[in-house]
Amino acid sequence: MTMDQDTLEGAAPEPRVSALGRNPVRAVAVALLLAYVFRTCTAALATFPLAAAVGASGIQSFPEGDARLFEPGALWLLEVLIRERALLDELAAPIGALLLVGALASIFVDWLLVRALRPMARVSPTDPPPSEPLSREAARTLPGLGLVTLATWIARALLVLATVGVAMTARSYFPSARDERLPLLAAALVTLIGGVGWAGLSVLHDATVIEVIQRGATARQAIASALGALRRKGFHLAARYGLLLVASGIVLAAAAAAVSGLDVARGSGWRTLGAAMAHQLAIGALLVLRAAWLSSAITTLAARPRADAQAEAFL
Amino acid sequence: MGRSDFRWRGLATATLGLAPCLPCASSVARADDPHSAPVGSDALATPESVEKVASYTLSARLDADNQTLHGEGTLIWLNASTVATRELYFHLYLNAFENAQTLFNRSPFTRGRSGHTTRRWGKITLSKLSARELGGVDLLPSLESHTPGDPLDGTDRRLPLPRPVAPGETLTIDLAWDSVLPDIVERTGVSRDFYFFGQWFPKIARLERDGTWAHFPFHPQAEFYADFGDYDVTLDVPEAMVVGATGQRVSDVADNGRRRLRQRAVAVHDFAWTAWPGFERRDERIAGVDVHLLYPPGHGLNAERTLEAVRFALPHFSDRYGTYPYPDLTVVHPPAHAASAGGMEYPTLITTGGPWHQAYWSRAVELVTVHELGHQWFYGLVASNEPRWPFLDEGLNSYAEIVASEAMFGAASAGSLGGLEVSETALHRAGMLLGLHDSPIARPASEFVDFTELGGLVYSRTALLFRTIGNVYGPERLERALRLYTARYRFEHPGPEELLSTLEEVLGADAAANVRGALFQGQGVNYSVRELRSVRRPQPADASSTGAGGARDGLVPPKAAIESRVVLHREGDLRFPVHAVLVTSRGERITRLWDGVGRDEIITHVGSDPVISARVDPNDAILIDENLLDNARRSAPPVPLGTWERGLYAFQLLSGWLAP
Repeated sequence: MTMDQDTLEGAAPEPRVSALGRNPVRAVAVALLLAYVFRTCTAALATFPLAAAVGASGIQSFPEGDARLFEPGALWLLEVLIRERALLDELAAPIGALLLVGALASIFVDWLLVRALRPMARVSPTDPPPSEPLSREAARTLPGLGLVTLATWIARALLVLATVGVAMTARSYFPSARDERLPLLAAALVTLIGGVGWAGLSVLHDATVIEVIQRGATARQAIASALGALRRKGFHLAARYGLLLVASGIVLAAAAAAVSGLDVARGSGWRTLGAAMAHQLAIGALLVLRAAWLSSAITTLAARPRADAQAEAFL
Repeated sequence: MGRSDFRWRGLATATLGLAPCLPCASSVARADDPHSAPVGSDALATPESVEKVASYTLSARLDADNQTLHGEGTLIWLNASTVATRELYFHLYLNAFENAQTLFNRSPFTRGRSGHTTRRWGKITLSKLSARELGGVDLLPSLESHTPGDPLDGTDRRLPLPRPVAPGETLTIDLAWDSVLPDIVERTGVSRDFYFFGQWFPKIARLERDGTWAHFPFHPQAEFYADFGDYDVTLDVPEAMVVGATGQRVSDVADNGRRRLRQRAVAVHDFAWTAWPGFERRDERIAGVDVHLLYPPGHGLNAERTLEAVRFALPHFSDRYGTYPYPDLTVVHPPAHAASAGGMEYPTLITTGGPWHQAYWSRAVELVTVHELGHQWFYGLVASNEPRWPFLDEGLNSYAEIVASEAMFGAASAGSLGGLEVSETALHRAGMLLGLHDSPIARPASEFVDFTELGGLVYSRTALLFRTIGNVYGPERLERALRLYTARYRFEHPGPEELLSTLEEVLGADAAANVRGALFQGQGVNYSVRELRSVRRPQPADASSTGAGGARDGLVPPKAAIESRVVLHREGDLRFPVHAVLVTSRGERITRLWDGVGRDEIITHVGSDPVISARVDPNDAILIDENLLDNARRSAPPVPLGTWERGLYAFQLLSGWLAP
């Protein structure tokens, strides 16, 4: 491998374009579609028992049907929730379990997406060969991704516990404060820091996943590499992730505004269809935004110093 | 006399002028009943015209270092009954917090509104009790040591007298007492340097006109009952204290690290006050009343929302239930560490509450303000026996609160979050449905299983009952009935029969029977569409018909008609007239009125199209209906698409957030 004379000392060389002739746009589109289908199927399985409970409540016997649930005042929404509360209580745990299993299984979908997004070049001896069969690559990387996912969940749970504990401690520093805002503001500040920590864990998780998939690293190697990347490129990654969050918020707000304007409480089918379109467009947009963030993170992480690459090879 | 006073009197006059035109109204005066005379333009009682039965001149000194209070003064008590009495009864409410064995504290299942018991005990100890007209002898040794029949409770104390007190006779009773203040778990006491004094002085029980004493111990689910009188109270507090109290401030003098404030209230039946150096204050004149708002630092938005609620509700309630007759109103928002002092009513003083951020995301501040302000009428002016008939104040006031809040905020009267608008009607119905609600409402507060049952029945079910009565018999007629009731019994102590007779007078016997059944027998109702069927009914052929050629072709093929049958059903013993709406497959709407008397009503429709949906009570008038979801039936209910759509979206988002 020859070095480009303009390459900065310590920086990895630009990756060569793969000679395989893959269409990366098509691959990304297929991966996004699979992600959407997977998420929708999981959600549909969770929604089915709830919709059945609502249908059985009797609300469908009214001319407006379940559009009554969205009428101003919430009289009918509360009526159905109270009448069906025993059933809804029973459904909460299985639906929660279904969603957790679905979240865990979504590792496979994430793997497909990152694979589709990664630059097709070997930048270190540890990078997997581009011609590796899919099944072999899956067998090699998915266990590591599973470990990374579990580690992320544990880290998040610990972060939540720590944030709650510190927030309560912060509140207790104002036992006699006459201005009642002080304890809550102290707790809110701690919670905000906890939120930043949550975002940091999310960035670390995604960087680790990229390292596992792109470089075939073990979970431990990938975490170390991701931490190193955060030290070097933390601000850059945080800015991109922040953009993702802001853009996601805008998408959700736009969908909410569109659905509010449709006024589904008036009961006609086209309003419900319009709301469905707005919501599904939002889900699609969120997936695209995530893909854009992952692509940006892949590019950022791909440019790392030669010393790190040699250290990884040693490990 | 303010603008609202003219408006109320004009309304009352106009209403009663129309009364003879209404089939169900009766304005026949009964010579032997002073309350039967129609309310005229000058019939509203004023504080000055009220018979003063129990008037207090008191002074109280707060020792903030020891959290104790010394009080002394004079009670002028009139035997306003028709019978001589040889005894008096005093409420010593503060003794409820004396130890864990009092009636208030002894049950772990009924611990008042807060659900807590005190950590710091409190009590009231009389040091002087004598009556000048009885020779001024010390009556303390005669005071019984505990509540009659309950040696562990000291809140209801009988005082035998050396001689009978005749009807119309007055006693001038000198008293002095010392109080140790408990921490605030139920309205009264101390929390850090915040003090609230409700039921803080020795209070004489009410002697009813028939000579029976309305005495009772302090039960955790019950409130209070007393006679009207004038109060002249001097409070001696540390100078830094900001004080809010019943009545009007007469003087406020600072001297040598102390402040002496004098308050006067005319024609009230209680006196409450608060003191805290942390209060911020806003004063505003609203509808001719000087409103004083005391609130903690950082509650600026809560304060503004509270005043907005008073600006609406004070004239609103005055228009409906009679002009607020006092010159002042004090609104107290306790600090968070004294939240148990909040959400309460006293004559001319109410307490609200909620955290500093409440107004940013909910309407709870406005709603509690409206509710407690409404109590100035239902409890303050119409001074019913709260422990004996809690529904008369809490139930009617909850109804009045719903009407006021929906006038202020519409469908989002309870709040709006993320586009979801929730009404108070919906919340009260939820409160009713979540508990057992087939028990009588009209019973003493102490007879309810717990505060949850009391809340579901006395507050929510009563409010919905009156909303139903208004929806069925006319909201204007119900308002007229309540205006008549509050006018007749202003500064009086009515019971359920007074309310029911007024309702019958204006709304008719059926309405009154429904109210009586729901209140006293726990009756309910559930309307449903029991059946919806359509059958094709061939019609007989017509032999005189001709064919297309104009000649007589023989029999014409039969033309079938479709007969649809809808069966409406009524469960329960309440009977309300209801409408039913049938819709055919062609969209034709057929409306029927059912008088609701029988158990079933069969509606038959014959036409070329089947009836595909039927609905009873299409306007949701019967809010006390046990189950609204069986009020309709369709021949082919569709899939709940809206639920599917929203559920799918919600779980798609949730699964995305759960994924690492």
